[in-house]
Amino acid sequence: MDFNQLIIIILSTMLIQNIILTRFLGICSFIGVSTKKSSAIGMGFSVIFVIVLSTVITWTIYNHLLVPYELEYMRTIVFILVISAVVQFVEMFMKKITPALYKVLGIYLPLITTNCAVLGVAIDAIGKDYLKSSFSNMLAYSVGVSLGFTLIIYIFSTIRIRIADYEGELPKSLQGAPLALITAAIMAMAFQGLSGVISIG
Amino acid sequence: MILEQILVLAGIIGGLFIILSIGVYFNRKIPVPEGCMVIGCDHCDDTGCGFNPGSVEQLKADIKREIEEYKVKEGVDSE
Repeated sequence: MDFNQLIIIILSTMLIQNIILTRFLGICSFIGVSTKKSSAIGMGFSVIFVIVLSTVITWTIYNHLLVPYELEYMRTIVFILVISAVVQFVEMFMKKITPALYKVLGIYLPLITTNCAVLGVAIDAIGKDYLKSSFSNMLAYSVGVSLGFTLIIYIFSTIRIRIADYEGELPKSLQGAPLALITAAIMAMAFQGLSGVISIG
Repeated sequence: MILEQILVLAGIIGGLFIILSIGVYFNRKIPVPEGCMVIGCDHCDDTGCGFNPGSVEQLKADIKREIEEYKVKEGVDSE
């Protein structure tokens, strides 16, 4: 296990190959929950937990059960079942332990199941050469992607709060989701400035 | 090999379904925190949104008002 490589994977997936800004995965919750800072952070931490846990489970099932028995074609169904189960348990714990956060996240909490970023990371982890052969690389990748998701959704929520003060001055056709998407596009262009700083496989 | 494959697949899918069912069962059993009984949102007043608690009543009132306005307008036009 090369510690430097793990750091590079985490930083690269967090900032340079950010899953929201470069691959447009997880846009639903990114737009939907970023109106308040508290809900953005709550969603971010829930997604970190779900992505890391579900990727570890799916990677293990894929490499130790599906590949040896030549059942790789069943991976999507298996992965969806794993993600659904993990989200159910997250929702259960959140109801019990942090009811306030549960209330803030509302409908978006069960919708983590349909967050394509979660399934995207699980599929990446078994598809990329440097991830499918190494558990530590896969763990670093899933941590980096989910931290990147949380970072971007938090930054975006702070921008949206500031923009909201001036939104009334804009034409109606630009208010709400269109303005959010334009802001996200400018953010994506800004983060493109980091491309090439670090490169992984 | 084929029999093994079927058994392993049934085991994986069955096991995951059982875990998911346990999660759903316990999730439903735990009461929803106070204030979350009705799924609603306070982001907008969109009466077309199903999550708006007063959407149906609001919609009925809007339709009634529009019919009244239309009738009044028609009355004025016909005169």
